[in-house]
Amino acid sequence: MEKKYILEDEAIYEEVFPNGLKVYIHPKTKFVQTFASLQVNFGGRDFAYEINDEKYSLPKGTAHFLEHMLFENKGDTLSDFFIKNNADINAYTSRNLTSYYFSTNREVLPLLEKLLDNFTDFEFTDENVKKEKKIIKQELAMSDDSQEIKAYKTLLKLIYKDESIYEDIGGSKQSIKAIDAKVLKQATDHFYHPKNMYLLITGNIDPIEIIKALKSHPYFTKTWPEYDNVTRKINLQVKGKHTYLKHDSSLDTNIVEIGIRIPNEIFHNTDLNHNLLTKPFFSMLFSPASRIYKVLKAKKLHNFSFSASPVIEDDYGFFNISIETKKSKQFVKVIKELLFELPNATLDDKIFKAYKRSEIGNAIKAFDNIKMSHSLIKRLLNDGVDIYSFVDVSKEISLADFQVYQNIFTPDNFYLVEYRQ
Amino acid sequence: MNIVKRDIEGLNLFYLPSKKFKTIDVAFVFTNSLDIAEVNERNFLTEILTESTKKYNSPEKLSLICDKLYGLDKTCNYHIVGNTGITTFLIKTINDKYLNEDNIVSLSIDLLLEIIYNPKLFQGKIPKKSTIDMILQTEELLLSIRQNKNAFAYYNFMREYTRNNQERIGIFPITSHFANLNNQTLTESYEKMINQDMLQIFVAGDFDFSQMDKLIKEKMKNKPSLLELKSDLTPVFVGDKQINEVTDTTSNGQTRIFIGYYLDFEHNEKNALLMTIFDELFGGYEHSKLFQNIREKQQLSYYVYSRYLEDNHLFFVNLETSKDLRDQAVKEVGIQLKNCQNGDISDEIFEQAKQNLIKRLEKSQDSQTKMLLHNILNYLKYDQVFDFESKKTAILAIQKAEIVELINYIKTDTVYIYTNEG
Repeated sequence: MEKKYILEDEAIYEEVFPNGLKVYIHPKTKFVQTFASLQVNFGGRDFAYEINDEKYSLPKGTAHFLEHMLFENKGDTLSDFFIKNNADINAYTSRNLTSYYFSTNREVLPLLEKLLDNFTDFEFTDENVKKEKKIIKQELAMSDDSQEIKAYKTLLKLIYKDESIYEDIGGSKQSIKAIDAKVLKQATDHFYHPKNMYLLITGNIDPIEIIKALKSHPYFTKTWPEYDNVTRKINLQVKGKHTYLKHDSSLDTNIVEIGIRIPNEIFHNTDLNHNLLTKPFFSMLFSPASRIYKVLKAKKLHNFSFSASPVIEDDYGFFNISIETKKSKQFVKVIKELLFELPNATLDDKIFKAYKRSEIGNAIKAFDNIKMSHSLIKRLLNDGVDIYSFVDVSKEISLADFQVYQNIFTPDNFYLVEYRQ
Repeated sequence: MNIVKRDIEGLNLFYLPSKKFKTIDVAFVFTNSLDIAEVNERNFLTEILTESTKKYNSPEKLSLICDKLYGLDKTCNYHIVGNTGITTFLIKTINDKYLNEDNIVSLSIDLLLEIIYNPKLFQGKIPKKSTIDMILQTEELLLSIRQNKNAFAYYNFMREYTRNNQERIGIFPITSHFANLNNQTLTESYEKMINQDMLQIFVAGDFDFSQMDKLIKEKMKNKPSLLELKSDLTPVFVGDKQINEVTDTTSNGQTRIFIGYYLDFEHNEKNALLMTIFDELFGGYEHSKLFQNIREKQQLSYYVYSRYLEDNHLFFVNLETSKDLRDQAVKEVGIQLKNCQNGDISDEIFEQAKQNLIKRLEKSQDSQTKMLLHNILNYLKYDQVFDFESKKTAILAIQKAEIVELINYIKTDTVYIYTNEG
């Protein structure tokens, strides 16, 4: 087991087990709680993939469906055990991963053992599949009437050709009809292998004790089949149309979704750490201290619904801006002017220096909060960021590093979706 | 966490010492007797005061100084408990011990005082421009709420549910009072808060008491500080003899159901605890009556939950389902409540609900801010420190029979359905 440091007083114990599972343990003994997350590299995008040049497919929504089913694996309701032991367990599926996580104030080991029991082997009944379909249909219907979600999805479809980018993570009522026990077996065989997963534990624990105890668990003693890496192909061809406008008299206010695509050649430049650079860049651009914010406020084009954030996946990225406002036409005109100024603009060094100080404070606060600590490390691991150097790398970021992103704010990379009354 | 009242003349000052965290939380809590006519103003003030000040006279300047103070977190909120309005200003700052600078805490408190006591004014009043901006933003917010069907359903439900209690429960924004709102009324509300509200100051973290005494005393010199106020924090809900059934329609989508109840019993500390436990076992977690029966057994809904709002003595159930399952879902909620009222609550669910509450209280010890807020409210309501062990003992002592007796006084008040026309 290796012990490495993120900060002087934040150590991570890292172990790679013989079966391939990577385990990260982050002791924080002054806290009452412990958090644990088991992450699987399998998400909403994985309905078409290859293994050893052989093509496979799954019905859309399988990853999310499987996430539900794994709470009823082998006829056993996983959450029952956690509830009885005063722990909280939950899960979510994103585009590229599934996460099973729990928190507890009590003994962690029995809970970890139970969690790992659940992923050692798999058995699903048709009855449970049928029951879960009904529940998931209700879940999918929840977003059917959300105009905001529809507008965002329209934006993704406008920018990207590849279905794996814009398809609903949960699939559709139609696609999940095809899910059965056989489909779930294919998914678990191809993705639920220790080499395709990792475990992160943060809290009041003794790493040595945990690792020692886990070594004898069937999840680690079992002979796993050879794992063949999954490869995914994505079509990042640029689309011609950049604007989509829909009139809908049922709307109460207009919705604007903007995407500024990071061009493929920039996105795949391995010298650029997008996960570490785009967030500070975009935060600065839209902070209350910024020119953009000042102009929008002065023209009364900024309101509670405004949001701006980078979207960085492992195969594509873009900057997203959205707002709900009756003054959507004016907003679009003004924001375009402001954004297209960026390639030639000099960012304010005063704001940048202040921002860097705030990031130091935010890092201290994050590690001072057990849940935030856990979420931060999880996010960095998911994003493929080196957790041991990210603090130093972040400290070295300069305004010059942002020029490459400033340069992409041109009409060629600008996409607009507007839903108007 | 214990609480220490400081003996400083002219100030209600409390310290919550803790060596566990690297931050210091400072809260200024203003309380007043609720005046429903100024609920909009009080809510607006929480935004206007934290947006700019006399010295930092634009959001840009205020944001910049907060960033320079290592990302100082500042929040302000207004909420109603019983017949009392509470405005809480809260900052979270990094303790100087963990930085290479030694005056960040002092500067952060200065900024908090600047926000509270030095608002940006024009000719002695909150600027008209700020007022108009806030009104416009709120109107846009209402449009966004209308567009978000979940938010819209909840907003309409709460207005229906509290229809007989408008003088005591102000659901912001109170649009009927907008016409009277202007920078004059905002300024009056602000001056009332500063001069007539009771002020209590709380500081949580790892610091030297006498140094902090000196700091606060110096910074609060010449600032008004009302020390006492008879506040009534007991919520009262006026129910109705007839059930209020309201159905609103929209063009498409799922059916949202809210059922609001009249709690026909006195609100006191014991009954609030009984209701909190009942809320948990009825619709608070995966083994609750509602979750198990409505979602797991009958697959009527992806989510269903109950919520007890102790501060206003409100209790409701919410779920979302398809139109064809609506009547079955409403009926099932009624059946589950009736079963509980007849004593059909397993020991397992009952004990688990208690353990869930204890677990949540334990967890809050991992957050200095949560512990601070628990203490503020506990002090206001019961004039005592929030003591985890006493709370735990009280929860464990509760008997099932006490809950069953109490919940027989729960009556359906409002059934609100937001469904599609199709």
